Amino acid sequence: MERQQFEAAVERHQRRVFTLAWYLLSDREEAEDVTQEVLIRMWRGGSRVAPERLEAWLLRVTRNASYDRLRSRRSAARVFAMDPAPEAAPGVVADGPDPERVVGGFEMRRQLCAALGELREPAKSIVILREIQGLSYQQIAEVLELPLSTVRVSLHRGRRRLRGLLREVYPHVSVS
Amino acid sequence: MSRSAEGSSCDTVLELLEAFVDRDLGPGEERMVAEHLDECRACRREHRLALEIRSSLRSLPEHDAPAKVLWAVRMTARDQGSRGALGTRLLRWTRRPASAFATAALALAVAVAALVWWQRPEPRPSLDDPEIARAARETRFALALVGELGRRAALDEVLGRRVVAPTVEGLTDALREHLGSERPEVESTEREDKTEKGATG
Repeated sequence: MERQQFEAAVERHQRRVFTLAWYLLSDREEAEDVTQEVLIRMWRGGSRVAPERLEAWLLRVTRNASYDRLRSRRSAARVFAMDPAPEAAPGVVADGPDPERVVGGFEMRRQLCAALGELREPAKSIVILREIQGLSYQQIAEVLELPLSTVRVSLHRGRRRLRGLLREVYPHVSVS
Repeated sequence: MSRSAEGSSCDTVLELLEAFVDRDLGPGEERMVAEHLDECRACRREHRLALEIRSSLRSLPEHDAPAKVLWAVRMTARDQGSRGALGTRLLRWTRRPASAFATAALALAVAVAALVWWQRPEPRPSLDDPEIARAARETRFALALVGELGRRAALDEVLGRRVVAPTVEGLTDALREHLGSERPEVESTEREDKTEKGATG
């Protein structure tokens, strides 16, 4: 991959990569490490990937790298018999002035991110890619190398699970 | 479990609710769920909750990677720039199975070609008789010339230095002894020299 192509690809894809890593790991520093690792892998091996498939490749590599870290983290937690330290969720970090975040949305988002962490794969990745990152079913199928029907069913299953977990967080939801 | 007038159960509707929210249902199922929601308060609440959660998920922000991460990535790419060019591509090419096979075949072909070239018969000179005869004549002439030169050189050496020069020297000495003081050219010359020295002195 030429230098200029690489620079442009970094600009175009860094947000997607970092966001996915952060929501999967719920740990900003680890997400930074994964992002760096993935983008360097793009420099070394991105030329083998067709440009139209680069984003899917990057997100797949990001997901795999994130799960490698999650596995290491779980192993470490088992060895040292301690729970992973609670980290600031990616959805509740103050990027700038956001009244909703300050008033009531902050706690709701924290609960939402915690509930996301309860989902199993592939539902968790699919919910993040679809609802937070806005990918189409087709794009998600390409990233996760799954059939479209599996993507659709897993998305609905994941959101149904979230509904069960978050019922108490949305007491204001009433029926008109 | 409630059942609407058309007979759709809450379980069935709740199963389809997320697909209904995403409008992923066919026309028949969509109409069935919509009619059930019109009649069932509990499922209507679930529907509202599903909409709310989806909306909340979609409001979660995406984040740019920190500048320090991007800087580190660019520095790493710059450091590995030379390797990322030709060397890495060649290395990568040889690592591919098909490329490895092609490389092995090429190396084998080169080795076979080198072996064949190395084992080729030596070319023999093709000279005809007139050329051989001419070369023999030229060789004889050259040898004769060298011999004549050598002979002359030896003759000069023998005659010139060892015969002629000592002979001439001996003859000169004998003539000098024989003549004694009767050497008019020499005497006159010596006298003139002495006269000139007396005049100047």
